[in-house]
Amino acid sequence: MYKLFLSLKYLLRRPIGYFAVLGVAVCVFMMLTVVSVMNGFVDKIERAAKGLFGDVIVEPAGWEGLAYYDEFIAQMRKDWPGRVEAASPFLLSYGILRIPGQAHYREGVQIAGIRLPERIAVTEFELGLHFQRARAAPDFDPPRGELLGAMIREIGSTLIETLRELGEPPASSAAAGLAQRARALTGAMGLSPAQAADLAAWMLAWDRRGESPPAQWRTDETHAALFGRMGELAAKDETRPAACLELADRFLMSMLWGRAPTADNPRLGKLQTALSFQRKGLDGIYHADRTEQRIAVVERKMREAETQPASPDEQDRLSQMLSELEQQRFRGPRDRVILGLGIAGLSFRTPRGQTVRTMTPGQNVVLYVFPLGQGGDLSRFSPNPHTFTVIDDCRTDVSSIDSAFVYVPFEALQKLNNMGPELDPAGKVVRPGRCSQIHIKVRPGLGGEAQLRTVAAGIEQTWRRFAHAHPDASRTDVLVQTWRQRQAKLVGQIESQRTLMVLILAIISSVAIVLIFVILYTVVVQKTRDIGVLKAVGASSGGVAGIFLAYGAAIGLVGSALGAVGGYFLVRNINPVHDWLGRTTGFTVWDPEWFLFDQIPNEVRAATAVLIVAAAVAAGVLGAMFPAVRAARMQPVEALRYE
Amino acid sequence: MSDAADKAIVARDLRKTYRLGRTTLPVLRGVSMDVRAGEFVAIVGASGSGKSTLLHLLGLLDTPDEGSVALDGQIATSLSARKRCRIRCRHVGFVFQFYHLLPELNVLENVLLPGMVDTPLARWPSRRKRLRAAAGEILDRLGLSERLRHRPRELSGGERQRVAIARALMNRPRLLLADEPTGNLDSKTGRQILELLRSFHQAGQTLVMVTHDASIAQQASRVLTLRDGVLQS
Repeated sequence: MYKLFLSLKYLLRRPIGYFAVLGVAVCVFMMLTVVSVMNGFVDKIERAAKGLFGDVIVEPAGWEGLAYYDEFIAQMRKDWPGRVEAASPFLLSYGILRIPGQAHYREGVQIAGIRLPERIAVTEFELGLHFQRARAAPDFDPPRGELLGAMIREIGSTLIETLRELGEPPASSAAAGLAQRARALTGAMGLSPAQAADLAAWMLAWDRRGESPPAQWRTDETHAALFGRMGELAAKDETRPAACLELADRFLMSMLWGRAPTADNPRLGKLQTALSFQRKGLDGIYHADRTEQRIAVVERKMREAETQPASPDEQDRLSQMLSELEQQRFRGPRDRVILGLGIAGLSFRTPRGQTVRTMTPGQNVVLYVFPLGQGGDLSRFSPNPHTFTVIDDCRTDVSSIDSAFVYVPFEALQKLNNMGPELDPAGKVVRPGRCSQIHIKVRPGLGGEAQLRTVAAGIEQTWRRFAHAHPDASRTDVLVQTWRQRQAKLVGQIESQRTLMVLILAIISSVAIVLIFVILYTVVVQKTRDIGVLKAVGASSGGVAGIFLAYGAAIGLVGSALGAVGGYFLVRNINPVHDWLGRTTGFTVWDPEWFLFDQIPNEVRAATAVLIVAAAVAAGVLGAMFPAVRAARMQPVEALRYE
Repeated sequence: MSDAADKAIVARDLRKTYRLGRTTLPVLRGVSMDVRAGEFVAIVGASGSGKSTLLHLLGLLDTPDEGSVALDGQIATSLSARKRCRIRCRHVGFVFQFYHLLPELNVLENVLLPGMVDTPLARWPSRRKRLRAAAGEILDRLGLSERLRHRPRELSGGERQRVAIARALMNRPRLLLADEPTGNLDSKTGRQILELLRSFHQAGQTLVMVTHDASIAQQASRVLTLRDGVLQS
């Protein structure tokens, strides 16, 4: 009993022990923060890899591809009903991305052919989508109302960013005019009178910001609420978007174009360019039917011009018109593309960390696909161009993926990649369509690497039997790998960085052991007489050692508890803290303009925290070991003899 | 000896030599003595005569080079360290010249200390109340009931020594050993402490006290004089 009692008394009543507690706290704090953030990175990379490839990947060597994939998937499901949850074919090709009307833009991309929504059962692809993030089963054909709503919200957030960039409004704008505009806006939006009054009051306050500036966040929040509301209305009611567009337009005009932007602010220029692109996208979606009608009219006129003699000018005019309309066309679900968020030139990040998209749903891009599935004579190898309408964008948070990938419907890419089914003139399939990979999701609970390897081995058996029955399924070897094997380079690199980091920190933290040792040794020397007294009243040597071991453990426990709580709060709030540091000192480790993570990972795993605390307590006991032994060895008589 | 059970202490031919560098310093050169239960024995001698060492040997705080100590008829010198600790804890109480209270603990906690040492952690909750009551009772008898929450540094010398006596008596030891208990006090306070010890003796407490002051030794029922490591008869 006295061991625990005395160790706690020493902890509370010997201020020298506080230093040891502080040392341990700092080490635990540091360790927990770094390990948590690094774990967050590894998690993000893993999630990204799995998000793209699923758990297990079946992949033939080379670019010839794999035929009978649907049959093989069916066979796998039959062979391993307890292991295979879902599977989906995947096509990979390369190409060049261009934007109609932007003669100078070209960007090499990797083109992924995917099946939506089938893919969502296999990967976490849906988590990275932006415009369809609220949908349960995103696909290449979201309802137009929802897309319009999402687009209006997007424009709203870009506008907010632009307003922030613009800063102070001009003093000349008339308060009365603004109030009137607010009433008109709110009336058309169907806001309640209270909301309308609030919005009007806000607009007035905003206008008078020179005198009494409302907090910036309030401005942003109200903006966001305004555009959120517009978006909601657009999504709910097909007749409203017109009103909403009108409103958004007016709002844009009144807030933005009413003021002369400073020409020498390149960021403002970029934002305004983005806004005009976004408007183009919005128009494209909203006026899709009108564009189709116009195309039909122009095509009819062109056909008429062919049969009837017409002036070449008229023909030129018509074809010019058609190509313009083609650029505005909102294409069908087979001709749609999801862009990786991070492809150069299609989006950018402001210094405040806001992602601004210039290519949004509703705009068209042209992909020049290299037909990698094509065999034979290389001299006839030429890219297949095809126009796609952007429908969404996707992020995995790993820039090497996000800056390179675009996603198009599987069947569309199959054709462009010359891997579609080949038919003879009679319409009989000569060669079936091919895919480049099959991605498999395993049943829940089989996610461990060892279990995944077992699953992969099983799938390989299935493949061998399948290949025997279908000798033309693949002309090359087929590899079955777990996602970790497939991504070994990427994941392994980060993991070894984490290990190195932990190792370095562990070495630094060993200072805490030395600190505890020195402090406890001092205490033991100071307490020589007390140790004598304890022995005089019957404490054994082991008991005296126990006091100091418990003291060391208590230092470890209290220090690590403080450090863990501090570390937890820092990690949970690491983004605000980082922002604040950036604002006050101008020192940013994490430049949001460069990194694709908006946010520094801020999760703390309970297991990590427990492990670190346990290590700290062990370190406390270890540091206390030698002083404790020395205390135990003291002879009571010698300890008591001198005053 | 026919009445061995009555003997609180039987020490036989105790020898102890200290080494100081190369020279050896024989402190005790064959001391034999008996203390009957309930007796008050004073050991007097000049400083350096080995009286404290003798007391430490009698209280099992130290081991003799030769000879044996039997407490209550049990030869203690040959017991294991653990058993000696237990005897020291339960059956022997020490009072030192310089009080030796633990500065981090308050009066009550200092007095409780021997009780805690005797109680394993698991037993503490069930014994806590009883031990606290016992400590409170002793402190009350010593007139310290107002001082329970005070730290030793807030007390006068006499008060500190009374706390030390309370601590020594906490586990109701059969044997109370006092090493110059008045040596650090003024004569008035010293007399009070001595009176206190005498009152415990009168209540039946076996008491062995070391002092260099012959007048104090007068109070004892028997006085042994130690000179040059041997008892003078």
